[in-house]
Amino acid sequence: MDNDLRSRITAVFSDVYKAHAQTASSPALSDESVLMAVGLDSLGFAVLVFQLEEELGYDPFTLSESAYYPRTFGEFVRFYEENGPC
Amino acid sequence: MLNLRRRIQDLPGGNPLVIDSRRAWSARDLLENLDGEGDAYKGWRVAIQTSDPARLLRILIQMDGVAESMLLIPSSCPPPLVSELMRKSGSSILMRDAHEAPPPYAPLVPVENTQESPPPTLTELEDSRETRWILATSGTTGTPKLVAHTLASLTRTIRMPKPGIVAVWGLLYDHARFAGLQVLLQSVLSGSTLVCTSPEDSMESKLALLAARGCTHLSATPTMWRRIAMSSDAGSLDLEQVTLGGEISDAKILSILSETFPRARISHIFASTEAGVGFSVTDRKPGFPQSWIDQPPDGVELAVRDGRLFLRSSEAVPGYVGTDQRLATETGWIDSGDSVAFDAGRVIFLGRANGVINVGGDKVHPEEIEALMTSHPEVVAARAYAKPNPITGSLVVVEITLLDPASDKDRIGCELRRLAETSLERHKIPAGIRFSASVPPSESGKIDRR
Repeated sequence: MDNDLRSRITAVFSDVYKAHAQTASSPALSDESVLMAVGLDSLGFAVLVFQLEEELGYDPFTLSESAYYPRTFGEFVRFYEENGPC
Repeated sequence: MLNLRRRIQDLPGGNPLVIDSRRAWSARDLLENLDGEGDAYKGWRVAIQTSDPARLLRILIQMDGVAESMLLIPSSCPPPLVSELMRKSGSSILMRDAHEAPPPYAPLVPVENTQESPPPTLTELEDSRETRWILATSGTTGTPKLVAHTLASLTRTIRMPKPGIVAVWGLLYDHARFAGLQVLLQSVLSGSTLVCTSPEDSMESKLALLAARGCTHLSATPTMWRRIAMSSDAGSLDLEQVTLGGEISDAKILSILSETFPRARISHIFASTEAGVGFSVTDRKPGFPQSWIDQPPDGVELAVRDGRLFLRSSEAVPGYVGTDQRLATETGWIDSGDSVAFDAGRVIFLGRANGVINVGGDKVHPEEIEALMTSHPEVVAARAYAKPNPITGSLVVVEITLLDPASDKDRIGCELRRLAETSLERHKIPAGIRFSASVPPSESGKIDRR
């Protein structure tokens, strides 16, 4: 797995989480962490995808033609890897 | 005409009509101990604010056909707004949950008499009436508008399940708002079981409860559905009916839901508190067929003028309450306020014509954001707009024109962000703040929102 992409995603997640939950720290994420159970609601998630697009330059949800939503953090990172620009 | 009490009394079968995490209510449970209490409020205009759907239903049963009007107030509505809505609707009495909050099945007690609008005198009353059901639209600036419906207008599109089938509906919406009330009435009046979830529970807990109770029919916004599709509990829901409403349903979410719930019939509905239920699309494609403009679905006529969708119902038009503003034109056409376009034989929804931004079902008026931004002394103009987002449909983004283009954008951006976070509700906070050289106005001098 591309560690640079993963760490960038983790960093943006941390920023978004801390801003939304108004806390000083964010939960650690593993591949198995279920996205909808990490403590971000739909709005938080929307902001995460927005910030990732600012950071990485693309949004895989919009680019991907397949009817698929990642469920775990591992799937999420893979989703970004697979749909990034070549 | 049949009031709510009669229609529930006439239901066959004894299966539970309402279930929450604590207990179940059959028709008999809902009707129990209500005789005679309603007559005290004959001809009155009552207001109701309760966080418990079963309690709301019992009050509605008591009052429909007896009271002149019933104003439904969402539980989240703060007291000053409650008073204002009561004044606007001429309501004399408020039924609400006691603060001491005994278990939610204590007898209903009216808590306040506002004395604003005196109750009617006995000589003015007829024996039975078609009670007006007054609902608040989701306003974002100032007070929400009130729309008056009747039980008839609210239940025009109720579908009965096939004989021998018991549908189990899940309630994810607020029961005091139009969408939630539609689900509640559809479920109860078709003799189905309604499973109620608590607003303070997480989506995961709600889904677990719905799955445990065998939910087969579920209505939610596209944003809620995206969350459901991403949840690990989605697999345990065996849905026969998936209904989407409140936001534009795009091709992606319709496709994902077809795969996630292969047995389900998928409907996306166009409805507004003003228009009542408009129509339902079940072909799993966004928008609706262009042919519907000449051959409309039952009970509704559709027209497109100046790129906007208009509807006309064959029923009497509901009206706004407490304002002179007209809801429909003289010929009964209601402006949906939505911009539409024609594309490959379909009419597709583009968004609100007035530029209102829909963030996960919550509406944001760009003007409110712009006014806040321009309150900053170094900002000369701002334009707030919708940036498409795959999770909530849109997010708010704002483009700023500075008084002095050479100023420190990082600092000002930071200050604007802090201003937004301390002044605005979460969904209104701009996700992005951009700086531009200029914000071109349209010919009229106003910002062009198209």
